[in-house]
Amino acid sequence: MPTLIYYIVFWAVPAFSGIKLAFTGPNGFTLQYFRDVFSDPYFYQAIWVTFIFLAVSVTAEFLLALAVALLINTNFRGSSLFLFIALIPMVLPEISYGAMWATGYTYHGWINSILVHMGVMSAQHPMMWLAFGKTARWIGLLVLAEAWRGLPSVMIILLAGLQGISKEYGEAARLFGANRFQTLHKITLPLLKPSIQTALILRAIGAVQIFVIVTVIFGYRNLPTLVEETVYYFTQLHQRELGAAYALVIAAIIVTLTVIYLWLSGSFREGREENVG
Amino acid sequence: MSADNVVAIGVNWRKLAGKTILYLAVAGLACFILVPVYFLFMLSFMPKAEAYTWPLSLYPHHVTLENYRFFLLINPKILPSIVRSVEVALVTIAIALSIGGMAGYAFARFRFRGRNALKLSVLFVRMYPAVALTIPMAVMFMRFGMYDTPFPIALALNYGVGNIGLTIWITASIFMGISVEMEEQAMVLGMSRVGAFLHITLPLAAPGLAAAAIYTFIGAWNETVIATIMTQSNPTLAAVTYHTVADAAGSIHLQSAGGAFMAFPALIFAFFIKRYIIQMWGGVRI
Repeated sequence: MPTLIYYIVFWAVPAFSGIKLAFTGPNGFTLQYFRDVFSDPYFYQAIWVTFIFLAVSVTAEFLLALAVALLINTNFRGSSLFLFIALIPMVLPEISYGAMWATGYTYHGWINSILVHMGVMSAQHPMMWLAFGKTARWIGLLVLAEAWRGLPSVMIILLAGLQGISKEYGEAARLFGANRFQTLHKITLPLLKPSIQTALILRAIGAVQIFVIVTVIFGYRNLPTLVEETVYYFTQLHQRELGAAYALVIAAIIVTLTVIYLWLSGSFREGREENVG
Repeated sequence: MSADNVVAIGVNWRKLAGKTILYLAVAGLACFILVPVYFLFMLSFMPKAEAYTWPLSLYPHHVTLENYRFFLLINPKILPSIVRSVEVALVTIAIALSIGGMAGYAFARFRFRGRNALKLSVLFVRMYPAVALTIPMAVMFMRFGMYDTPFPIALALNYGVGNIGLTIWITASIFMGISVEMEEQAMVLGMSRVGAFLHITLPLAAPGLAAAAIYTFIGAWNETVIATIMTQSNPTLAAVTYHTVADAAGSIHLQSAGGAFMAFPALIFAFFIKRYIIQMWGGVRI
């Protein structure tokens, strides 16, 4: 199997050499790099920011996307145009999306300009969105920007799941006297569970690895996140081993998430054949 | 008679309200998506003098390409990096389609030992964070002298890892859609299995494979994190644009021109395969 060979050479070998790199000092085995990581004040900030962002952003995106998906789960006029619009954030380069929000959040940027034109904000006192020291606000801005990117994909996954559910279940439930909310709670959501799990894990993995947008809007080290710190150590400070140790921490988090997902979705059970890959 | 009418009107009101809420939600979300995109492109065409007035005009009074010229010439690495980005994307497509396509065909046609294990490993590799793979890979390629070479083979090999999994999934669903009976008939008529694949299945699968190739192209063109780690003096367009845009905080004209320049190819290609992308995301099991 060529795939297997390719994976062994270009995935397994680097992945294991990464582990070796992070544990090997000048005099053989060492835990020094991990000690450095765990005593780095930026590390705790990065963990904190990443997880707050993960929780808020995934929850908000999921609830909004679910609401919209339930609403538009019908073929309405213009639905194909709408789907094309929803596609834009999914294919736009991360830099474009970073540039877009960076020019928006800046002091004389387009967001403040729109607010002034709408008369909500006075032209003399625009909002300093990026004022230093307001970490909570910064995370909020990040969640908003990331929702722009994440919402459409979550919505499309959920919509596809909804369309796979036969309308008859809902009708049958109604016939037995269930109201809309009961139908949603007892019929639709349980049947939608696989799509929900997929959407959540994809977004969670994306959120843990947030990087480009953070550095484009806020610059390095102003709002540390895990991947941002990793790249910073590797490319700016040229501390390869520390970068590798950081990367392993990220890998551990994501592998944990993945295993939980696989376990929940039952992929470990042999012989279950749905879609491939 | 009047009772009937009341019921009918009541139902219509309800329907109308439902429709209104539906369209409001759709329009709201569409605005949320489109307004930032509009400003990205609008600002990129706006003359510098207008881009720094306050408050910004909501449309450009004059249109100029000056921002793009400024962006393309600000760093001598940018023009060669465009060629390099295309090279990386093409090599990645070749790797992903040849290796991933074979595995996809195997998944679609045969039941073999370790099928489930391979499926799980594909999924696992796809989930594994890019930085955790890329940093040791970069160190490895430094040792072989393949790091940051003018022809970006190391980068393409890295992209191959992530894209093979995706291609397996796409090609498997394409090959499943092509009936196995046609291949069998061709073989009954004296063709070999390879011949049947080349003459019957491959032409039928061609549009789907092209879509998979375009999708891979968009992914490689857009990718930033890996490119930032794996290249220094020979960057791809994404990497060098990233540094340009990230270092230019507050330079509205430069940031928007860089972002818009990156966006054009991605959007144009995406337009051609929009149906496939929606199907793909709709069917994601990762």
